Amino acid sequence: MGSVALILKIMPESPEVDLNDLVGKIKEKVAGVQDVREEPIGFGLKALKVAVVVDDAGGASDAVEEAINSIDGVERAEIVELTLT
Amino acid sequence: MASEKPHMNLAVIGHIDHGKSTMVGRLMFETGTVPAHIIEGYRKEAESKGKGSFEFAWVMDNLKEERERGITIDIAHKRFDTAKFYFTVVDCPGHRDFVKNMITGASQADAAILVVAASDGVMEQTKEHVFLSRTLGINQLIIAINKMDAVKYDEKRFEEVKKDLSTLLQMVGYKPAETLFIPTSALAGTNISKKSEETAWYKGPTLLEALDTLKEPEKPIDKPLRLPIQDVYSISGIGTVPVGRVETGVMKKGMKVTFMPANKEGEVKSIEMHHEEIPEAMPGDNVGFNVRGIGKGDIRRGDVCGPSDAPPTVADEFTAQIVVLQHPSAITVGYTPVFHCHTTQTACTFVELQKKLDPRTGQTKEENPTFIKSGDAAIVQVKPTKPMVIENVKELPQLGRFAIRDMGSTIAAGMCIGIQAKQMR
Repeated sequence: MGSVALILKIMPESPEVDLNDLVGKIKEKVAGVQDVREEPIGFGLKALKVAVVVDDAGGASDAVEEAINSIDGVERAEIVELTLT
Repeated sequence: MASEKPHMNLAVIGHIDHGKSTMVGRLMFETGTVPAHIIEGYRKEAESKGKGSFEFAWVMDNLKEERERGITIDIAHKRFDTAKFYFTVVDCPGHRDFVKNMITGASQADAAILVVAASDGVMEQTKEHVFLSRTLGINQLIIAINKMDAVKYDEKRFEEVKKDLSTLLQMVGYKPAETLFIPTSALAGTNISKKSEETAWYKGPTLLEALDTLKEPEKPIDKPLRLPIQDVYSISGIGTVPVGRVETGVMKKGMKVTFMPANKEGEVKSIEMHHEEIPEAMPGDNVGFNVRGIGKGDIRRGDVCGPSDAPPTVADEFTAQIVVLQHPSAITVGYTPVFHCHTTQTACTFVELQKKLDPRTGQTKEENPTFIKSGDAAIVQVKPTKPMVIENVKELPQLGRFAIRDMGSTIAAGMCIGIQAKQMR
C-alpha cells in the first residue's frame, strides 16, 4: 500500500487563538505530522499549513480532517493538496 | 528549486500496477532531478549487497523511503524541469476516498499523463481516471502506453491499446486525434528522454518532448468573479471579513458584490493577502476581504461571492454527467446523497436518470434506466434540497464539478452540464 502526503489548511476560530498552542494539540491528536507552517491571510488572521503522511486507504483523509476539526480553537481544517509520496 | 520557467501542475493517473510511480521516478531521473551522486551511492550499495546490476526499481524504492521521512509543505510534491516548463507532480492515490479532496482541494492539475500498461490495456481504473480527469477539468492529456518491454515492443499491441483508448477518450470529450500516444517502458527508460531502437516503428515524440508541447494554462481573469466563501469572521475594529480563494475573475476594491444563495449585497472595502492590503485579487489568490453592508450572520461557508451585475447562479435543478465510483447497491430516482461542490455541501435528490452511457462505444446504452451502479457513467437530473450555487462546467469549470458522498465514502464524481436557474430577484 502506498502513502499519501496531505497538506491541510487550518483556520483558527479568531485571530486571538494561540497558534503555537494549536500546533501542540494537533501533534498530540494526529500521527504522521511532518511539517507545520503559519500562513498569513489578512486582518490579523493566520492559517496553519500542516503536512501529514497517511496510508493510501479508505477513510484516511476524513480521519485526519475530523481529528483536527474537533480541536478547540479550530474553525476549520481542510485538505488543500495531496499526492502519493 | 527556483525556476523562471512557467509552472505546470501535472497529474499522473492510471490503473494500479500500470507503472505510475516508476514513470514519475523515471521522469525525475531522466531530467536530472535525482542528483547523480545519490544514484551513484545507491549503485555502490546495490553492488555491495550483491545485486550486481544496477536496478532502477530498487533505486526508486530507496528514494521513496528517503522522501517519506522528509516531506515538508514545500516539497510534498515531486518536481522536475523540462526545456520549457517546471512541473510539480500530483501522483494520484489509488483509493477513491481521495477523489473528493482532489475535486474540492486547491491543486488543480493543468495536464495529466495517463499511464496504461500495454500488457493489460484499458482496465476499470483507466476508465475511471479518464472520466475523473475530465471532471477535474484537465483538458490536456498525454498517453503513455507503458510496459512495452513486457509485450516485446510490439507495434500491433500498441495500436490495439491505442484504439481502445481512443474510443474511451472520445466518449468523455477528449480529442483522440489531437492526443499524443507514446509507447514507453518506464522501467527500461524507453522513449522517455531518448527514442529507442526497440520501437523503431514509432515516429512521434518522446515523453519529455510531448510534455513540452503542452500549453500553459491561462488564468481565468476574463470571466466573472467567483469566490466561494470558506469561512466568515467578524473582526473587531474592522467588521465582516469573509475568507476564500478567487476561482475566476478579479475582485477589486470598491466593487459591488453579491453573495449567493444568501442573496446579500455589499461593497468590497479592502482586500488583504499575506497580511498586506492589495488593490485587486486574481484567480488562485487566498484572500480575506472586508465588506460593507454585510453582517457576519448574513453569509456563510458555501455562499459564493460574485459581481452584483453578474451574480453566481443558484440552481433550482441541474443536469449532471456523473461516474459512479463505488456504491454498495444501486442508485435510483429519489436517492439524496450530499454533493460537495466548491465550498458547499448540499444534499441533492436524483429526480431523473436520463441516460446510461456505454464506456466502450460512447453511445447511450440505455434511455431512462431504472438504476445505475458502480462503474456506470450517466446523465442525471438533480434537485438540491436547499438553494446552492453551481455553474455550468463549460462556462465556469472551477464551480461546475463535484464529488458525491454518502455514509462516509465518495460514491461518485461529476460535472454540471446544464442548469435551471432559480430567480433570486
